[in-house]
Amino acid sequence: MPCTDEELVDRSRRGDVDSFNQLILRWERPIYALAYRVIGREEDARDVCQETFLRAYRALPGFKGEAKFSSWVYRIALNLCRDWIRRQRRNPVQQMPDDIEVLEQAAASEPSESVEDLVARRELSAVVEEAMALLPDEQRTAIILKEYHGMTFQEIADLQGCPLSTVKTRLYQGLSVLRRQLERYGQLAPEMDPEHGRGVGVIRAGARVKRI
Amino acid sequence: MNDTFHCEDRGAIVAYLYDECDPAERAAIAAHVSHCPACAEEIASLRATRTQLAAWTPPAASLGFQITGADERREPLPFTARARQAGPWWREPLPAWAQAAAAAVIFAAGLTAGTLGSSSGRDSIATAPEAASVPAAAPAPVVERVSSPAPSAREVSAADLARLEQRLRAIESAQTVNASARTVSAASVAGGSDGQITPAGVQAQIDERVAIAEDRLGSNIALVAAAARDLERQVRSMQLQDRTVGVTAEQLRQNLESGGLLTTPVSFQVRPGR
Repeated sequence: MPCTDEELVDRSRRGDVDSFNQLILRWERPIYALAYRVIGREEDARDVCQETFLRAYRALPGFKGEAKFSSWVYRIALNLCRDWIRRQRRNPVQQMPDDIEVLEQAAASEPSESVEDLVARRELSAVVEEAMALLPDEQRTAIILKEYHGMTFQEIADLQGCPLSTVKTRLYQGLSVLRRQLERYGQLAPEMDPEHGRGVGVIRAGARVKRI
Repeated sequence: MNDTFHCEDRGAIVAYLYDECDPAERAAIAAHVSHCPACAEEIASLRATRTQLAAWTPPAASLGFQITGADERREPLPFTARARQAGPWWREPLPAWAQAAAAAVIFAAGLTAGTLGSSSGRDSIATAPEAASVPAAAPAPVVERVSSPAPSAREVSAADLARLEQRLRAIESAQTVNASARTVSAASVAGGSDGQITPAGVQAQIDERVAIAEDRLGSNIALVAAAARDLERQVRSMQLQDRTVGVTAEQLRQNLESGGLLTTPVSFQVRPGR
């Protein structure tokens, strides 16, 4: 029977590095996905993910188990994401490496797969990503935690440090904006916009949103 | 109409949508929705939106982070210190001065090893890597690639290095000062271990070592790649300072290609692997 998080935390606190690595293995995918969806940059999301577990490991002696391990690392990750977003607002960086990567990927894609197919496969995902980037940080984070991490209103409220009613408001407002954006996509779907690549992140949100 | 739910109660709609309400509240909303087309439409469209959201998948990433030792507790991650840069320091391009320094070290190594070799046989090329590995100031990865040939058994002592440094200084001044001064400095060099050095001889040595160093540099892909990345970073910072410059990724790519800098694969990322 696999160990529970609590058991692994307990062993980690007693110096068993392997147990902590098991915890990493268990949670690195969700944390990476969270970071990617919040900040919109693959490379930085990986850095956030790595930093999250390093911080958790260092802070392990102070972790008394009053919260779930997962909630604890989610909180660390969200704090790191928030720091990242603040720094980006101060010093926005062009997303050149990702763009080049996309070009390279397009050049290297299978000849049998037409550009239209390639676009179609990624289209809805990219549209959702772009629509999500329109949301204010708190709304976006609330929706990410709810939709992709299955958290309860109360868990989100704890992580965001706000009343439960605020979480519901954020979810409702965020969903309403997304509905509007995605309905436009639904109307546009037959003629697809090949402009949609990857790496549409938070940074671009203000710069280019011109669906219709 | 049920008086426990109103159409404007967004919180209740959200709770119903995510099925996170108590049974009584749920029943009340369900009853209301059954005869309120507006609320029914509202909930149906929000459900449709939720279905669309499920399509968003993050790009696959190779993760596999592991804590490897106790010292991980203290060592800060590059991420925290380098907010604006996408990767840790070892992924960053070498700055131009570092490339110049590396080139200078390689050049100097070839030069000095050759000078040493002239007094003890013609093994100057074999000893060059050994000498190149000594200066600590050189960026390690670049130097390691240059020093890929197996080093010979010959050892470089501190006294050798001191002598080399003296000789290098003399040669440097010989290059930069006028002819008479060059004679003087060459003469001062002649006071060293081997008294045969003449200005013409020094010049020949320089020419020879320059040719060797150039060969070595020419084959050094790492430097080219670093230069390409440096160029890219410079363009990026130019864009940052002045958006009106407007160099696009495509233009940059074309520039790099026309300059032949992308004819060899340039790795922008090093991924952690398990």
